[in-house]
Amino acid sequence: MTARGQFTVRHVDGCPVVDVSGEVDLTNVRELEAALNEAAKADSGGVVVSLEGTTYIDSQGVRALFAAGERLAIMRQRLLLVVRSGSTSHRILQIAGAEALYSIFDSVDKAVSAKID
Amino acid sequence: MRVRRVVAGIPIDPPLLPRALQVVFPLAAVAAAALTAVLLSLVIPGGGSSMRFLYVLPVVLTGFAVGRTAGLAAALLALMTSEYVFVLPVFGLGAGSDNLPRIALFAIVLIGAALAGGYVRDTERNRQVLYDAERARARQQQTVAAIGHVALTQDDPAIVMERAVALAAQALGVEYAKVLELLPDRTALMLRAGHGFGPELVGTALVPAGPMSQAGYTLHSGGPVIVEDLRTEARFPGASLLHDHGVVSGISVAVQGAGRPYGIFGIHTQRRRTFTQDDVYFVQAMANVLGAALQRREAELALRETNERLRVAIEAGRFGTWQWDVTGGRIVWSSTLEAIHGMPPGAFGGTFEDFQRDIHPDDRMRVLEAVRRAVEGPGGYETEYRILWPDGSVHWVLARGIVLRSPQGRPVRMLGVCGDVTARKAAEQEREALLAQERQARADAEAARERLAFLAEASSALVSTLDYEETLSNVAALAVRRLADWCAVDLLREDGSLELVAIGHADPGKMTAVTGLHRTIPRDSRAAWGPQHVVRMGGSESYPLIPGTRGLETVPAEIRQAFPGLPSQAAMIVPLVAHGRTLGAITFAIGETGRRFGESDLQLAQELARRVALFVDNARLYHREHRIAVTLQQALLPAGMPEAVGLRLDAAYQPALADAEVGGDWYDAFRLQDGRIVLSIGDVAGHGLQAAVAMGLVRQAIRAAAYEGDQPANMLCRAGRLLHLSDATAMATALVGILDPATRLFIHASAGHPPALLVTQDGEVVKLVGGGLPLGTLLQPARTQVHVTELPLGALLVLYTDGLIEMNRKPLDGEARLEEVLRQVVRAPSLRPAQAVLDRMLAGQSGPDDVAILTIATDHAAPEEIDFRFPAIPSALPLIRQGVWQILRGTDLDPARVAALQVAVGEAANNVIEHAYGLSPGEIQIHAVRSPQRVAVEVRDTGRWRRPRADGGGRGLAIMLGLVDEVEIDSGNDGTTVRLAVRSAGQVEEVRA
Repeated sequence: MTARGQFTVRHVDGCPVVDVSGEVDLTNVRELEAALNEAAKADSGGVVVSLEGTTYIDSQGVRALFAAGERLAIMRQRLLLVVRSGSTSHRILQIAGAEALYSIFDSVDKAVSAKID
Repeated sequence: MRVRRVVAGIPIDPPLLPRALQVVFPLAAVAAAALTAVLLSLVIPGGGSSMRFLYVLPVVLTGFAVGRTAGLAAALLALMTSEYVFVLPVFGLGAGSDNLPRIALFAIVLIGAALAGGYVRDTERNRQVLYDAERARARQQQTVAAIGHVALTQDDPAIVMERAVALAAQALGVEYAKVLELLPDRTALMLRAGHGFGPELVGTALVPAGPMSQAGYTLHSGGPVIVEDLRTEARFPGASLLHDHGVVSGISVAVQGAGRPYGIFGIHTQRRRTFTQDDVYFVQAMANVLGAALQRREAELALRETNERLRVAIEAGRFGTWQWDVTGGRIVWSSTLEAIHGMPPGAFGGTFEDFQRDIHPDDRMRVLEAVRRAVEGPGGYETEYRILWPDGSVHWVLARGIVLRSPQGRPVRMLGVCGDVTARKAAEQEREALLAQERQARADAEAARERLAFLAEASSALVSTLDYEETLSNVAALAVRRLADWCAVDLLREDGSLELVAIGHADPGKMTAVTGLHRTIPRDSRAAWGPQHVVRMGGSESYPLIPGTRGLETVPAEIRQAFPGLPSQAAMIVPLVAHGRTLGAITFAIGETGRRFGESDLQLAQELARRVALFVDNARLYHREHRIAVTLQQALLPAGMPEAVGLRLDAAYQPALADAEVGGDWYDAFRLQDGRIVLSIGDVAGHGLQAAVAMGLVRQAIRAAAYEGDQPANMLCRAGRLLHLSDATAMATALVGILDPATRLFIHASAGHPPALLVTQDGEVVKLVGGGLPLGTLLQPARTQVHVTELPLGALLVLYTDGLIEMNRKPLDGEARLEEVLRQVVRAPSLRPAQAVLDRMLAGQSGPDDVAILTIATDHAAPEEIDFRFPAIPSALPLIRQGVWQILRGTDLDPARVAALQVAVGEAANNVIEHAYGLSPGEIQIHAVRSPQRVAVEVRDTGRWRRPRADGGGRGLAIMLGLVDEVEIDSGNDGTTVRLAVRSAGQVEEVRA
């Protein structure tokens, strides 16, 4: 079994990156929201959320991501999602319709450079 | 000056010449003879021959005075000088050969003269020696006689001794003579009289009585001891008294006193001297005279004392004389005897009737019998009896008498004395009384000792166990052996009534009856006597007879039969008071033996009651504390075991022996939010409330650390620090581990705890790492090692406290036994493996220590179908995923499909948690089943289905639908069931096709 979700905020080339590892569900979705809010404060025009290390994410996590994306949009910032293509997380994002709303990348570097562009 | 003396019958003449002249005279004689001869030959040339015989006289005198040899020398000289004129003819010419016969004749005459003189001299000399010896002996005998005279005339032995030493020294011609007295303790001899010794030494100088001194040696050897030279004496070194005075030779003999050696008589000289046998006899004779004088003196003193006493007694009127004319019948008493009888002089009537009237009636027959025997038999008359004075007072007298008989043997008269011995009798009686008192005191002391022994026995019965009903029964049994026929202990209940807790009877067959009897004693609050009354009044009561007939009327007939002496029963009832509180009362009663209680019995009963009361108080306190500790411990142990799919947890706890104290063992198992299970087990050193509290502390500290996300090693460190802070002396061992149900990885750390055991399906027992430093020790390790173990399927992990293997104090045997038991338990799976292990280990017994045991059994294989239920709360979500994982991992499904099913199940559960029950509690039930091609999971609730809302709730449904192959939602009034299923890739293709 995998560990509980860990949410860390780092900066790559001045861009805040939220690494989501482990499992995200109803029990810890508030922590994810807190991390996203923290990242949004940087006000660098965009927030990268990496789901590369995420082993489980359900609709609650997706809801938190979408809510953050909406808040960022109000602040004229972009939400950039990083997910391994073909992974369950990727499928869930697809099912939830994330691709239509947010840019999805398969690496943090690509997402950061896309934000700068 | 020739004085003829007779010594010992032998006439002795004094020597011919004074000793001084014996040397001078012969020399002068020879010189004179030689001179005369020379002068004559010169004066009368040729005519010397007629003068030749003048030479004979000096030669004879020389031989007599000096000796034979000197006489012969003188004769030769005389010959040569007298025949001076013939020298030439003799030696030179031989012309005078015709003179040779004359010369030879002359020489013969001269030699004869010399020999004659010498003979006379020798004879005289012998006579002189004999004379000296005899004279000495005579002097000695005179001395002995003289001292004998002194001894007879002198009363004071000191004077006798002084004279004896002086005379002895004089008689033997020695410088020192002495008398030593053996002191009463027989360790030393004291100088009593000394000649030649300083007067300051007399009465002070001591000589050791041991055989190292000449005197002591003499005492020990018994005979006379003669010393020729003390300086080379081999038998003893000699005392300083002699050495200090330069003594060389001497004689010591013992002086015999009355019945014991008095001491030593000795004579000593600074000159070396060989003593003759006479000298020794003399010294011994002196000592004998001295001894006789001393003995006589002692005998005289004793006699005088006796006489004196008798005289004083008679003068004081304590003895009177009597005589009885046996034939005539008259009795005559002296006036003192009348006084002894308390009557004025002349008042005695003088008849035998008068005599016997005054005798105490109790003694009269005895006295008359003594008189009859004296008159008839050969013995005398002696008897002690009481007499009555005219004033009525009683006095004791001693009468003694003799019977005078006629030549035919008929008794004629009796004579005797009679004295008042009341004082002696009184003293005797007083002595008797004292003896009796002493006997009584002895008996009292013995009784006191018995009482103490009884109390000691009772005390040891009281401390042997804390089970007080049993103990009180023992004490009651003890009491009926020593104190009473039966004994009952009543304890006060909280409502103020009395409860009979123990009763004992000397005859166990009467226990039932006596219990009934005890019930008849009034015990209501108005009772005028009985235990209730005693408890109310607070003081002991002793009833010579059980009072009142009211109680007796109610005694059932069978009890009255059992106690025929019932009405005469006596009882003591003593309250049980400890620390000022009355706890009850003990009744001690006498039944059929009918004896009475004494004061000492009451004291003993009170002593016993004091001890019993303290015991009851302690036992109650203990039970109270024990209850608290048990309650606390039970409260601290987890109520149930966490559930996890694929794992079965079980725990068992066995408190120590019922009457020992509660220990500090604990076990704990709880689930973290992520579904992992934390296991802890441990043992706080010590017993009782304190240990239970410390145990709770450690256990909570481990929990807190675990919730904080700590690893097992850190949990232990934190718990140890906390334990040390709360109580520096506390100590505990613990083992903590985290078990992930999904991976079956067990991460653990140990703090001085016995190792956990892992038993595989095949019965192999693996010992996990245990040991390490216990908690609470001052030096907490900065880092405790963590060990990771993967639990195989079908295995049993066993965590335990050492009480389990120390049942019979042999941990090694216990370990071996535990391994065997574990193999048995694994072979025959049990629903309660921990309880099974405990039961088999304890085999029905309870050990001296607590035992805690925690087991985790892993399933034999991934299940094909599982059912589980969780509360409908968010924290159930990880557990649901774990449960589903148990079923999924047994399939060959594509991992992506497995993950998708997990998310779909999660979404269904989310829906239940968020919507099904509103604010009321509810459950999520999961049923999962797998086949090679398909896995189906049902998520069911018993609440209300709500349409997913648009804000993400719908997203959950969408995700479900998008992730899995089958989604079916069944909603009704009694709940909703969501059925989700994934199929293997081939199946999916088929369906899509």
